[in-house]
Amino acid sequence: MVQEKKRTASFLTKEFYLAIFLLAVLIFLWIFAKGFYTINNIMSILNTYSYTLIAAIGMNMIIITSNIDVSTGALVSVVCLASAAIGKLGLPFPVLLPAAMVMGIILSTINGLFITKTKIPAIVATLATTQIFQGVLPLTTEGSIYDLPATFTWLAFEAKLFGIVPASVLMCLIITVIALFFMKYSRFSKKLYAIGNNQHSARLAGINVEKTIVITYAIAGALFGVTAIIIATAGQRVTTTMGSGLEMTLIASVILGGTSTAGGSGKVIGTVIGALILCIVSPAINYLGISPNWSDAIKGAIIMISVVVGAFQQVKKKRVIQIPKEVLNNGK
Amino acid sequence: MKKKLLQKIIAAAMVCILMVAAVAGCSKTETTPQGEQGGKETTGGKSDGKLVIAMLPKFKGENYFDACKVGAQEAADELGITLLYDGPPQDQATNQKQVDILEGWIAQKVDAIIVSPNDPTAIAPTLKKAQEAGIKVITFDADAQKDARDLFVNQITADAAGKGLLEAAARELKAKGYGADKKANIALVSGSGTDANQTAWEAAIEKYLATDEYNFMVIKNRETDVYYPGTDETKVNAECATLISRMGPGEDQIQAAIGLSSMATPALGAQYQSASQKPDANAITLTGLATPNALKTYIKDEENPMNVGMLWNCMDLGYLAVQVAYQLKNGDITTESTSINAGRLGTKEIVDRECVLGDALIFDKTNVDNFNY
Repeated sequence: MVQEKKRTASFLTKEFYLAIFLLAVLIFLWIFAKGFYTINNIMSILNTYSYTLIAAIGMNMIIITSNIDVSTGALVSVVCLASAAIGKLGLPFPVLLPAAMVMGIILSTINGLFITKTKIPAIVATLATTQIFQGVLPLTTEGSIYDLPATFTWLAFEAKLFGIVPASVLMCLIITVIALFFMKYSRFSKKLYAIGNNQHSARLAGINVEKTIVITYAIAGALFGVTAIIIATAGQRVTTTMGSGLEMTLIASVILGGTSTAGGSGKVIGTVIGALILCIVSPAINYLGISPNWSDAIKGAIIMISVVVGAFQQVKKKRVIQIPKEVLNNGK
Repeated sequence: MKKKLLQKIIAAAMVCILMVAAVAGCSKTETTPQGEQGGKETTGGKSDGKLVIAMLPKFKGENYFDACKVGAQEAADELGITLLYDGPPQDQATNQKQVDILEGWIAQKVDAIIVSPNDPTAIAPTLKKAQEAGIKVITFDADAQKDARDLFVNQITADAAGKGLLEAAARELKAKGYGADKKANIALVSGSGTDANQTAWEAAIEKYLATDEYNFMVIKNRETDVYYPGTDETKVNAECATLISRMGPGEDQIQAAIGLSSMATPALGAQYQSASQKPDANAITLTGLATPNALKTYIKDEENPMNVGMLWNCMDLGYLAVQVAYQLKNGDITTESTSINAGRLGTKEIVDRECVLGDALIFDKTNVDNFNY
């Protein structure tokens, strides 16, 4: 009996409810938002979704370890500008992509080292690096690099799968599939959850906590680099504001996807759905005849509802399940 | 105890590393030629007895204001004065940042301030404070509250700008078969919504849309067809992408998109370029305000429905602003003057404390290469 009850409950996860909600929204749009399902609109949403999700997967890993990174927006802006600077030389995309990833890794590793070595809370440390990244930007360029060559905008303007699907979507798909498996089966991901749950006991269990966290930031940095290059190559001009506010969208996607900010829980699939919901909001309300200025408020409301519902579930869960393991074992 | 010390040392080392990284980053991305002249000018004081004129754009580092600065520098060299040029970084284009810079200049006791305010009313108290300190206050590009400045150097009247933008769109639309018997839906992509220019241009556009000449173009729904994406590049791009996907020949679609900011118009061109299924270029048109350099590729591309852009001569605007500031400080002109002899630009009229630069500059593929900004 108990076993069966548990099984029915196992698929009624937060991700499941989220998927239902997403489906409802999509059906609602199908009925009420005329013209929403044109190929053009879908592809432009998917493009936005791609660069959001790629970075959100990285953010998800960081948050699982009970850390956070609020410097992502500034980091992405730095990588965008630096990529544009080398892109101006006419280098092709296969060079730009790894270059951006390496830059992302370097900057994000600085974050990771800063946090682990000084034991400063992640939010404070990354707040500091945000200021540094943002402070460096106006020094390096007077604000923007423009008139970039066709080799730079190749990804956005030319690279289309079957002439329709933007290549960024393919990149996102590959990364997502890898992430799904990696976070489910790899030993490394188990360490992340362990650290997020209880850093102290993780250390006692023989996990090198500092090293793992730095590596996590490095991996996330590589993903931020990919996002940066997609954002940067969207047009012929790269400014210092390319990544502004991105970190909030990422954190929101992760939280909406059911990852607890306390760390130790959360799945990639949740982030996949969460990011999609947030990316649909702005174009959707435009097609529904509401001013796009409402989009931030609506996104906020969705996150708030999700967090409140999540909090209730958490309370319920704790009441029902939290029986010390020893008691259960002794019972047997 | 020892451990704490170690932590401190590591922390200090981290800070050093970050600084080194920052410096390294500097040299790596130093590409725009403006960079070299940019930063250091603010240190030049009045030591050599030269007149000091300070110029504050809405934000630094965009080709529009870069071009203004080139013209301003030209005038400053001609007149033998010191020009200070500073502004908020683009991602912090707020009134507060501008006020911070102004406060610094007021303390330095510069002779005149030339400013393009992000918010016309919020900046007024600071500008008044500057005036009380004996500093001449000129606005350029965008006006502030009238009682907070001495003169306004206006690049173009709102009326002429609104008409110019509509004319550019109308010409293209008519060529594509729209007219009195076939109405066209238009959409506007504005800026932050508080900007004085864009508000005035929108009003002018509305006014002209009511006239017989332009009433075949309609803004169907102000809520959804006038965009205010702000100055965040990624958001501008995303909203322009949505707009492009709403374009097409149908009655419930949009036929013409007009960008009212120098960020929005290139974004429209870029998003059309990257659209998966491009709306029929024979049925739609894109146009708007931007520097020629920013639109060059799209205008020259035969398949892109962006064929014309509109602006004024930015270099002349910066030049005129410095001339006005200089002559006002020197007493060559007063706020009551009706004209100014502005160096290489010749005589310009001053009406109601506004000095207007001139007409709109409409560029297309035949002359887009003639401009270097």
